[in-house]
Amino acid sequence: MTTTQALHVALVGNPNCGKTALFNRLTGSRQKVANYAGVTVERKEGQFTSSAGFDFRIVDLPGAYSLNAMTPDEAITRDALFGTLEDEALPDVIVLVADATNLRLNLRLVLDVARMGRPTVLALNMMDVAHSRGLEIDVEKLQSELGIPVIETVAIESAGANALIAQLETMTVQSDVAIEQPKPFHAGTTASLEATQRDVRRILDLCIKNAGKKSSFGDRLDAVVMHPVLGYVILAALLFLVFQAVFSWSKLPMDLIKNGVDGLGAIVGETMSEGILRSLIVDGVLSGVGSVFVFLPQIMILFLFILTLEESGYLPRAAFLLDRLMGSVGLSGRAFIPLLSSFACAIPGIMATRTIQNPRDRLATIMIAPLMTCSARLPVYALIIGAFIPEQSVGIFNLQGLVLFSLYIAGIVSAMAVAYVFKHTFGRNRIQPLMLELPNYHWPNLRSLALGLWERARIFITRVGTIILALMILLWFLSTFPSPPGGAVGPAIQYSLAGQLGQWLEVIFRPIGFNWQIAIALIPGMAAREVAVGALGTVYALSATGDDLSVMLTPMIAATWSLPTALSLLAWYVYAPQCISTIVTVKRETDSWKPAIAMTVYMFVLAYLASFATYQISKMLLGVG
Amino acid sequence: MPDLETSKHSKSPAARHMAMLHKGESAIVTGLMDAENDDALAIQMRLLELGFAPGEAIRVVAESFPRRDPMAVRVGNSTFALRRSEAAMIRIAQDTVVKASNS
Repeated sequence: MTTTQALHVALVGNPNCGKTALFNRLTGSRQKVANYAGVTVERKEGQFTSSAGFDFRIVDLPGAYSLNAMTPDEAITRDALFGTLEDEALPDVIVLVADATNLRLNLRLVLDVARMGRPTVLALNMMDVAHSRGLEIDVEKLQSELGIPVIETVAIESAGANALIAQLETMTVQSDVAIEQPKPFHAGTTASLEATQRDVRRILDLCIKNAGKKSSFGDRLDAVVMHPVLGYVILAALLFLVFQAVFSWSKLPMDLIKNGVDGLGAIVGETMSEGILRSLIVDGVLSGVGSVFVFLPQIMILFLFILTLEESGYLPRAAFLLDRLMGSVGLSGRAFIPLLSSFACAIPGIMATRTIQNPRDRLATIMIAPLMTCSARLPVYALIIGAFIPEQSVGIFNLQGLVLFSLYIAGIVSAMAVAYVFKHTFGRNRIQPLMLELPNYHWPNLRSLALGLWERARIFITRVGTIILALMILLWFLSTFPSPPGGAVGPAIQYSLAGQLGQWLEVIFRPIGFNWQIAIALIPGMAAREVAVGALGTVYALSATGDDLSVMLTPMIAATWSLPTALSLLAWYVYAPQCISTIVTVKRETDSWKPAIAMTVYMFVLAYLASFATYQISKMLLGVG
Repeated sequence: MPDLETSKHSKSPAARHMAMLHKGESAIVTGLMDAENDDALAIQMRLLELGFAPGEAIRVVAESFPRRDPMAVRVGNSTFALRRSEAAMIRIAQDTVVKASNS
């Protein structure tokens, strides 16, 4: 290997050791997130060039406690280190990342990896926290005990990784030398594991000069957060706060975007002469894409909360609190984290189920993950709630926020019911381990939060700009052609392909209160739920007669839908049309079409039943038709 | 069964295990209980890797609801949420259970 080729570095360490923060520090936003071949374990790779001009390619391997893998994640880490993964080269250098404040746990994996005999560096991370606690580590001695270079790092500081980069540069120069193949790994026996643990303790006794004082802050916080009564109150309050914030904090930025899109529509409408092109831009692109884009602030707020809860170390505590309750419907407490991620999007949620060891538990979690209200439903809910639910206070609560909260609850309760049925249909099996680390609390790092949010915003904007834009233009096309015959009355869209299809579908959807405009919007909504909102925007913009070029969807549906129709559509969206990508992800994760098809069918059936009941009952109660 | 020299596996019904502890109580780990099958052995090995090794001091810091299950156990500088069924795989010394004065 020559120095002109980038050095291939693998980052490996326990979960919660600050490995990803170090990865972010090294690579900044130059990251590529993809999947490993054949599995849906996330593969994060980044590149950087050191100030001395050396190129590095860094892979952030999934966190692992041991090379003796228990989860698909850990198996990937093991195989990547040994170079046995398909399409993955053996890394040139392994950077072990260890939390300096918790060497008792971290050092065991360090020993296992160091024994592989590959070029390895140990990054002692979180040295700032270690120093502030008065913890002193004899780095020289640790180096000689482990037989590998040891570098102190602070992932959250700008200079925190410089020493590590300098060390990697020296290894680039050395890498011309032939490197030994990794020594094979043996899972060992309980006796050999105990021997390793004794080794860890011996090294710690030698290398820790001053154990420092333990912070009691975490213990005191835990006493409240994991309290058998207070803990649940805090959990409920936190979740409630999230949903309130999604509505109230997003108001200003959403109004700004809405006004911007309207302004743009007005300018285009004035400057362009009436014709096909103006219709495409105003009705197709601006109404369609604009009405989806407006939900960016709400999605960002939701992700801000999820990322903060994740970074702070709260999420595993919530799993601890809910393990037994979730166990009563046949789920593991571990399922809490995938299910919470599903509130953002079911796809990462389903992918996160790989940390559940038991296959049946994992399948049950996958089957109910799409019932968690994902952020793509938020635009649909927000549109309908904004149009039909008056903005007023109920006690200290906002009525709109309250309705949104109850929709989320409906999803959760339904998910629990489905899991319960699943448990009684397929039965329980084997011992299901929990063994979940409750990491020390951290103040969320602003840099990581910003990177995470940016990643989400980028994905959303890319979707709006690509899939959603393309679907909107296609829908505009279908809704515009063929043109109405001469002497036709009513809006032109009724004579178009989409209009005809919608009227045909209306027969199926009439009993649940959907008109043909909604029926049309449901079809592109299968590609991505939020597209339904854009589709309604386009369909209604084209349905508008005369010179009304308004791109405001909310007043339009408020005027034309009945309340039972609105409620029925809300109910429909609690259960139904999961997007195609979710179904494909389920197929890929389970390696079978059966669960994917079963999920699609059960959700459609639930959706139709729920909407039917909602529509008919509310029509009866309200006395409207 | 692996080499038993170092860990004190016990068949004695009187053997104390970690699942007998409650919030605020501490103990010293002495080894593993007998594994009933390969699944249990895999869990035991992971518990050992996580630090539940002979000689380690552990403390129960929280118990969930209902039926005080799972429990949060502190070992070294780490805390783990364990179900009682998992905690029951870790043998503890007979005489080291002490009720903490404050928790």
